Amino acid sequence: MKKYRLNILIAAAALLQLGVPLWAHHGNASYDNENPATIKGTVTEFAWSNPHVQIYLDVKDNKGSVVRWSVETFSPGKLVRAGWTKDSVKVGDLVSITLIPAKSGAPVGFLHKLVLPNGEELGLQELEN
Amino acid sequence: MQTRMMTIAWMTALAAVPALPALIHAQMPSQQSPAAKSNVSAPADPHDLSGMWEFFPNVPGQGIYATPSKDHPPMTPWAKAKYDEAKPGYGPKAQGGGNDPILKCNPTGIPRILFFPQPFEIFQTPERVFMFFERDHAWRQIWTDGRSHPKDLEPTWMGDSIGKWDGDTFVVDTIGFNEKSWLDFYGDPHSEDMHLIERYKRVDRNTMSLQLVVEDPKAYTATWVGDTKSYKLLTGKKAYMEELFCIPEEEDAFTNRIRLPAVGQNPK
Repeated sequence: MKKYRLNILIAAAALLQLGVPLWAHHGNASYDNENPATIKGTVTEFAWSNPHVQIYLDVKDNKGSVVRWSVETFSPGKLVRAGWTKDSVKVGDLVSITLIPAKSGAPVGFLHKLVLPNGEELGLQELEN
Repeated sequence: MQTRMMTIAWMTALAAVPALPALIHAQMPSQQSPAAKSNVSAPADPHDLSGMWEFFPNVPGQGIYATPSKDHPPMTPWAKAKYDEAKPGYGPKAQGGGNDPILKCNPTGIPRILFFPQPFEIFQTPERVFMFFERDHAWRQIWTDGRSHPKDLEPTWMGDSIGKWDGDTFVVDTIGFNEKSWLDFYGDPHSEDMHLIERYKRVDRNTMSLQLVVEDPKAYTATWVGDTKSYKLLTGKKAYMEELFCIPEEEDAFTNRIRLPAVGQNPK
């Protein structure tokens, strides 16, 4: 399972800019808060449902093999307050996702930020600063 | 003539029906007007807690997320046994999977639902204060008409709440809980003897604070005084709550598709 990690671009710079990450409090024990990463792939499913919204995507690793990633994030209500809609992501979209990966090494993560094909960014910030 | 008068009276009454919600709203002195809610610089009435409030873990000065305070008081053997059985997803005993009762769609219960990073709306009437929670699509009522707790209460998830103003602080006193819910996300238990006191204060227009005190001698050998939780007022488009029922099929699907794979286990 560790090989999946090799494909991950560590987003250390992004973490430094964020200060205390949002997910550090909301995420659970399954995820590695200390090592956020960014993956890029093609969306195969966008499950807009409770308890947490899920995005499934195919990501090519550095050997050209396709790995199916499963990514969760907040509930639909929290995402609406952060600017998302149920149609924000579509099957076939090539998206970039910054996430915290599962400690187990499985291709599962908790989304912090998503970049759509048109460059639009969707995050988890509900309050305006 | 009498018939005509009756007709006019009925027409007047019917014409007033669509305006009824507005009429009720206007007669509630403690309810904020929409204009006041949207005017962030306007002073807030400290006795008006109405509005949609959300707990955000990372706002400045926020208390600890998911539990009343960093450490629980010493537990009785009864509580320690329950705590040892709990396998929470958060806190010092956090682990993947686990046996959190909300994973089976049991109600979250009071006070735990107050720690959720999901909003609740406060609605005040002269006799009661209501809280409508996004989580669980749940609600509670807090009687403010001067009544006492009934005797021989049947234990419930939300308990029996009475409230009164102490200066600018709204003090809620609740007893009559069942002991099926966890007190917090950490798996800390409570018993049917739990006596909960919540002190709400509108710090400024956009901020409400909560301090809670748990007295539960069957579970803890000392009073548990919580740190100060802070809630932010949701305004404009942010003032939105989804219909969030806990659906067992959705929980099971999520467990099989995300929770178990995340910890390296196969779906059931």
